[in-house]
Formats: sequence, C-alpha cells, structure tokens
Amino acid sequence: MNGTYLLQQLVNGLAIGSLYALLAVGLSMVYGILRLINFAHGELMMVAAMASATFLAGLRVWPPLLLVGGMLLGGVLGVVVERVAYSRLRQASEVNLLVTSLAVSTFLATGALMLWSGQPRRFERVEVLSRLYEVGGVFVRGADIAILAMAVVSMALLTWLTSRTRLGVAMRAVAEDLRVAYLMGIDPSRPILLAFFLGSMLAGAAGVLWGWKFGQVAPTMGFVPMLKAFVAAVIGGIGSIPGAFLGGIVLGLAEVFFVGLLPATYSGYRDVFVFALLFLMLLVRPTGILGVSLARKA
Amino acid sequence: MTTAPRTPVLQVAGLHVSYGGVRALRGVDLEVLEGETAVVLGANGAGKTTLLSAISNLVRPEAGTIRLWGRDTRNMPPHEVAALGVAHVPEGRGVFAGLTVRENLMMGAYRVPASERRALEAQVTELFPRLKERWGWRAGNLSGGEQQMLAIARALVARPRLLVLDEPSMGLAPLLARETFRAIEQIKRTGVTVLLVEQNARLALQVADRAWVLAGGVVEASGTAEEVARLGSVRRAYLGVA
Repeated sequence: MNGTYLLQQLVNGLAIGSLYALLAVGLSMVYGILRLINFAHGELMMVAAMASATFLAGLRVWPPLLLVGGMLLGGVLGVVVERVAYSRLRQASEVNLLVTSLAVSTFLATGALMLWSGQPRRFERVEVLSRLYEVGGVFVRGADIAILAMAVVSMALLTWLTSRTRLGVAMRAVAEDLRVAYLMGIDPSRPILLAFFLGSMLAGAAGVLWGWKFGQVAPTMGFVPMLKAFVAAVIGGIGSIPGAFLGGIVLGLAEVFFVGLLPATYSGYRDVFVFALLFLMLLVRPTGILGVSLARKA
Repeated sequence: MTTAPRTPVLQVAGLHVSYGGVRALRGVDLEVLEGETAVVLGANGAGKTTLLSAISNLVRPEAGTIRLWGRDTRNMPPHEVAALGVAHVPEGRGVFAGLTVRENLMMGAYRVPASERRALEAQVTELFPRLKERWGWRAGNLSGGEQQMLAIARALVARPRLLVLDEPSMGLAPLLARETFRAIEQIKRTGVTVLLVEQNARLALQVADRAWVLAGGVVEASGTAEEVARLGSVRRAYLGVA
C-alpha cells in the first residue's frame, strides 16, 4: 500500500460519492419542503436513463443535449408524480406520504420492467467521458469528473436559489410554517412544484451520467442508489443542501476505503457497512453533519 | 373626525366557527371602516384568534359571511385573501425561525414587485432600526421584542390595506409592549386600517377608534373606544378597576 494507491482510492471514492451527492441533493431538497423522503427519486433517475438509452441515444444526439433531455424528462416526471400522487395528500401525515412514495417507486420500477424487460441496455458512451485520464499515476475517468462538476454546480446553484431568490426562500418558508406562509400571500404549490422540478431534474441528470459512467443501464438500477442517497442525506443533515452534498462525498469515500483498505474477504459487506454508518450517525449525531435541530419545526 | 362616509374594509356577519365540536364563535357581527383602528378585546378562549383565522380563511366558518372591500371571501384560498391587501400577524408572531431577518422580510414582501422591495425595507428599518442590526440573524435567535418588531415589519413590507394583529403585546415586558403600541400608533397615522385583538385593554383602547368585547364566542359589547373603556364590565375585567 502506497501513496498512489491511497490517492487512487480517494479519487474512486470521490467518483462514487459525487453520484450519491447528486442524488442526495435532489432528495434533500424535496425533503426540505415536504418532509417527504421521496422513495421514487431513484426511479426517476432510472426512467431518465432508460428513456435516454432507448429513444435518444440511438439518434446520436449531441451529448450535452442528451443530458439536458434527461434532466427535463426527470424534472417533468417529478412534477407529474407530485401533482398526481403527493399533492392530494397535503393534509395527510408524513407516514401517508412516505408510503405513497414507496408505491410510486414500485409503480415506476415495475412499469419499466414491463416496458423494457429486466435486460440491461447498452448506453452509448461518449469518447471524452469514457476515456481514462492519468495524473501522476492516478487514473480518473472523464465521466467521473463530469459527475463531480455537476454535483458541485447544482449544490451551489440550489444553495444560492434557496437563500437569495423569492421563490427559493418561499420553499423554506412553506416547509417551516405553511399557515404563516399563506398569510404572506404565498401559494404553496409554486415553491413545492419548483422543488420537485429541480430535485427530479438532478435525478434525471444522474441517470444520463450513470449511463455514460457504466455504459449500461437497467430498470432495476434505481433502488439501491436511492437508498445510498438517502443515507448520504441523513449523514449530511437531511434538508440541508450543502449537507447532502457533503454526505454523499463522505459516504462514497467511506465505502471505497472500506473495500480498499480491508482484506478482500470483507468487500462483500460494503452495503452492510453503509447502513452501519447510518446507524452510527443516527446514534451520535441524529441531525447529521450540517443539520439543524428539527425541534424548531413547531 | 371626518364627515365623509367611509367605506367598510371588513364586514363580518353572523359568523359561526366550530373546532371538533367546540363552538368557538357563535354569531359574530363586526364592521371595520377604512382608516380606523378597531380592537377586539377578550379573555383567553373568547374566540379572538378564531375570528382572525376565519378572516384570513385559515379556518372555514360553519355559517356567516366575511366581506373584504365588499368581496365575499368564502371560496378564496388563504393566499388570495392576503393578496387582497390583508397582512395578518398571527398569534405568537409567526416569524420563520429558520429564516434570517432579511429573508423574513423578503417573504413579507412576497407579492410586492422586486423594484419596490428595497424602499419598503428602508422604511421599516427606519421604524425599527434594531432590525437593521440583526439583518443576517436567524429570526429564531432574536429576542421576543425583536421578533415582534420583525413580525410587524414583515406585515408592513406587504404594503397592506388592512393590518391584522393578534395580541401584539403577548409575552412582552411592559416596556416593550408600550413600544410596540407606539409603533402601531405610527402605522395608524399612515392611514392603514388596523384590526387588533388584545387582552391588554389599557394599551389597546388608547390606540383604538372602535372596540368590540368578545366573550364565549359572542360580542358582548361594542362602541367607540371611549364608550367601551367606560363600561363597568370592561373596567373590572380588563382595566383592573374595581
């Protein structure tokens, strides 16, 4: 074990962590406004990835356009899910919402299985993104740089949006006290739809980027990353956007170092380790790294 | 006192409201005219907050009508009532604890065009200079008095035509309560119609033009502020005069 090896592990951790971060940021944003853990988030990523692989990639679309297409698809689908399923439960308890999101998740996953079958599909790679770049003996894949950049940019933009723009601040206001938000003349459906659109857009982006990173996508790809993103969001402090980003990176690094530093016989326990980390975090610091106490939510 | 007929801002007629079997309001009538400051006095549980919640459409009445500037608000969602020009400072002030002073004021001016927001912010920070000093603080970290200032300032940046205040003196030290009422007095002078609900009758009757006394969900007495202040029942119950 040497410096280069450690550095390579660090890069690998960042690569997987930024994918978790990208998903966790969107998840955390929706949680922040509705107190809903949107279990359908991973399936939105899957639908965007599968649809891109099926309909768009064959047409040899210019890659940035494919990414935008996947994002729009994710965003629109997220808004549709909000309107059809969640908006009817505004007065219901958080548990009802949670169960509904599980139902939506299952609906999308099963629907995709019926439509596309369980066979993984080839996802047309892009040369710049699938190439390995070498820096001082450490290898980085182009797609990983793109995913990290995407995660950083979206985290920064959303942080700015929710503290500096009228509609973004209204998201937090609606989340904190709906009645008072009404008294300010805020129609809550607008910030809620915006949160869903933006959060789901990032899931769509993750779907396309996933395709470029791994070269194949499948209808079953949504669930596990969604769980990891959830763990990342909790570690970072759920509801906090920079926290979700940080949580994703921490989780990715922890996962890679767990596999990379321990004997190979333990590498099968990777996911066990992830959830052990979640337990530990909930025991030691339930509000997460950057989380604020939920007690203020009266 | 002007002699020109003033238009009614708020007309409440035969208002009944119940919460899960408890009849909070049992036929309340009330009218507030443009430019006047009206106060509703009453003890805890008299139905004061329920009345204000019904005006803002946060609760749905069983019977009766509420008109704002002549418009029946029955089927309006609460944010549209606010859009008519009603700024309601709720019981317990209702500042967004997790939002900064700046962000709270931004939400207050949610329906005001961005070009006018800065001037309005300048106006309210002149009225409450303290808020300028606390600009980037989370509202949850402000003192009670500062939160009250923020709540009123947040209502003012909405440029309301009707300002509704639910117990602005609640939980404040006497000095701060007096300061709050001085601010209300100043707001009143700018011509904004004010509807105030209070337990502190002494302070409230000083700024009010007209007053209603609410007890057990019905209006027990009403009249000009001077008339109500002279009522024996009010003197005993609220003014501490035997």
